[in-house]
Amino acid sequence: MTNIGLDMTLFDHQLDFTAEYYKSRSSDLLVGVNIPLSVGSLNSAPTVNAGTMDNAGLELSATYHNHKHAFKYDISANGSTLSNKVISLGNNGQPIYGAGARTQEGQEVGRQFGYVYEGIFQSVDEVNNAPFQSAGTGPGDIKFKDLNGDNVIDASDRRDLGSALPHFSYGLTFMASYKNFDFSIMANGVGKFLVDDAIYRSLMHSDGGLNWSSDILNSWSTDNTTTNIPRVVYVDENGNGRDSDRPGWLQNGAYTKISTISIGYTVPTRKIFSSFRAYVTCQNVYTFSDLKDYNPDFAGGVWNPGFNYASYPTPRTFMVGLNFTLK
Amino acid sequence: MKLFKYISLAVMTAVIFGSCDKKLAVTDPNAQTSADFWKTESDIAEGVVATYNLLLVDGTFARTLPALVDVRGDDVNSQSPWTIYPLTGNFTVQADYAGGYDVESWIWRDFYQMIAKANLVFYNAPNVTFSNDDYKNRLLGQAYFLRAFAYYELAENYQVCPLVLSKPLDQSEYFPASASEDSIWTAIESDLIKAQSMLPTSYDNVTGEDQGQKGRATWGAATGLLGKVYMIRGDYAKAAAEFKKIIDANIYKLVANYGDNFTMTNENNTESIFEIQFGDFGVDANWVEPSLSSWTQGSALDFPYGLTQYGAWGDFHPTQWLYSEFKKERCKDGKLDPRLYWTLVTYEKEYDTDGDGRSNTIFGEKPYETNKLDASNNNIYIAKYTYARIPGHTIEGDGKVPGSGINYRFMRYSEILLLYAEALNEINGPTSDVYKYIQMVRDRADLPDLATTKPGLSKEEMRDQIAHERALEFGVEGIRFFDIMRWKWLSNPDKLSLLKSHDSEFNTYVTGHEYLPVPQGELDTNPNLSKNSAN
Repeated sequence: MTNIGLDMTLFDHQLDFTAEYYKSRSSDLLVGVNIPLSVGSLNSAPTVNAGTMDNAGLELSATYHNHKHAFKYDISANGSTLSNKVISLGNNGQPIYGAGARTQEGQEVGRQFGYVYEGIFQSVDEVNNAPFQSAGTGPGDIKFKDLNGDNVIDASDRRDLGSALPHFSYGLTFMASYKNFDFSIMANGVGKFLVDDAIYRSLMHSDGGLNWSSDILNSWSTDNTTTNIPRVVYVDENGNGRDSDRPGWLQNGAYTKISTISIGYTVPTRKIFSSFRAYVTCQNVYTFSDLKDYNPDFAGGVWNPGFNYASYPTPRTFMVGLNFTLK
Repeated sequence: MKLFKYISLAVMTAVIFGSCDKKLAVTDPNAQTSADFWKTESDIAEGVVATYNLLLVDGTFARTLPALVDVRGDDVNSQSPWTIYPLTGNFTVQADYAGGYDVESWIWRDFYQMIAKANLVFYNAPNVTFSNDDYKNRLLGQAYFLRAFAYYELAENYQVCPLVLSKPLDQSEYFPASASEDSIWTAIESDLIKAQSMLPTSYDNVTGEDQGQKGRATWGAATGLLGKVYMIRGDYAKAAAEFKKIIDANIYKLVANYGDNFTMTNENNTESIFEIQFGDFGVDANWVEPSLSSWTQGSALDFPYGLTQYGAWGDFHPTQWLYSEFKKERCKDGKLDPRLYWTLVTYEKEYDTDGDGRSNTIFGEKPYETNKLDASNNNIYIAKYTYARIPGHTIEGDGKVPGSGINYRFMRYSEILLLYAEALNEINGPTSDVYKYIQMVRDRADLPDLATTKPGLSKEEMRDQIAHERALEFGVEGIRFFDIMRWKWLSNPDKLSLLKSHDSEFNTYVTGHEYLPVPQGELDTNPNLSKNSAN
């Protein structure tokens, strides 16, 4: 564990500044280590203290205080970076697979993993001239890239598709007071990372007959060939829904969330109360995000941090309250 | 104060050293471990029952095994949106289907769990005292049969796999290499020969806890499977010898009504050599081990095979070829082959006037009159192992899945008769014995005497005749495709063309892909494992 930091206060307490570099190693992490099914055990991934992971990053924060006039305010901003590396998994050097993700020693945990999108087949000739995908592959199906050049699209044609962890997160706070009013607004957010959103993917299924997202109206058909959404077909032998980087399958999970807005009024002290404050607060005010889901602020699993499978949405809360102390 | 300090120090010391008392180290009777088990004869008996349990789960006979075998045959095809079914049926399923640990790995997973349980019986039996040798032999004999049965299914489906014949004692034994095809079949034969010598012909007259119990493996089951193994390996003389033993023992008899082999009544009848015991006992579903005590212990096969119009999933349909095959020959009384009625759901006008119990009433109503089902038979459906031909129900499986109580008949006496005829034909050509044993099966279906309708067949022609007889007798019973494999039709260009004309799924057949691929997840986890011809 390494920590190097710097704390400064400048200009007569008007500016606070903190910078900190950290590097920490976590060992003996619980890992489900796969054993072959041929062992016949009902638990084919017994849990062992076999994992070791490093996290490192830089945290910066600065706060400006201006209390010189009647309108007092503080502005604070912070940002931090994260770099993650798995040192050991204890799985005999084998990677651990999660939902659409793979964790390998020497790399970040839970990186997105799957096939590579090359476009949509427009004709039967194109299908016949391409590496074999399935017996039912036809115009309108997705063409996947043959990574190892063996003219067949199979498990060896999958690769790392990008990071499922945000590398940058930040927060902003603005607090102000004027006479008896106080006001604060807080926001936080994360930078770009790739999200495998299971709800969006399941609403964009090619096969069967369950409900769809309205985006499916733009799916490929002979009248609508300039699209990157594959055709709708009852039996999807081509596996258009498989883990891949096809457009829409790995979305940018970056977001900025206005997390709290609060306004309060402190009533001047009277006979009974030594202090009295009324406030209105809204939490989870608004989130700016491109993710096609109701909750960009989700918790994925250990081995698939970028996998959002119907995580419970954070509600928006309104609070009205009184804080007072009796003499 | 000082005295108080010394007294408390003394008390604490006494407590620390006195607390090393083993009285607190007790075992939890509600969470039994293997350290508390495997002590008595009844523990071994429970261990054997636990091994049988693996025949009732999703990866084995409750659904996936019959489905993935039938769909590869020319008697069944699939247009299910669950693509594992059509992809297996047209021989293009890949090893990493849905991540490599999905459906095509369930058969592998569940049979290895069965093998592990049998190996636990073998590991622990030497340390247990048995009340009598006969009972001990019956228990061990069943374990040998079940282990052989598991390896038989693994070899038939996956071609090569590791041969695990004892409980692994150390983690270093968790990564065995695949065994060769020959050594797997030799091990199966060896276990079956042991089972054959240890099992009774029936449990009706044994002395012990298992007296009177039906459904346990018998001498007949071990001998029948051994004969079938010899047929698969091409050793016709040994096969014929085993089948003759069964016929001469005079234990089994074909039941008069073919349909009695496919309902939840008339189970374990005189024709049954080995059947998987499904029930309708509890209330809860259970697809994998460990199983719930509230489990129905039912089969799920009626839903993928059953009619969507009656609440089932309709994942599989019979081929038009199988239907036409039934219509090639009428019974002596001019009626349609009764086996058509019990195998397929089709509209036949004459069912309404046959007067022998057949009718076009399905699930208590007349769907062909209301156009709910297609009377032109462009769409036909599977009847076998569904509730479609069983009176007293209005929807498939009474809406419960898995919940079908229809036992899966793994081997019936008619198979012994037809295999015996086939073996004799291979050894000596179509002798009168060959005709005789085939005719026993035809007689039950009231078909004319083959020796009169087709006398003087050549050996090759008799092979085709037997193939036809087996298609009708064993349609949609998990048998047809394994027959196609052992007859080597897939590597015979004429026969492969024939198969393509029966079932267009054969158009994408590629050599080697008659097997399911070794699951990718298993190849990823076990670096010593070999691929098979389908990987």
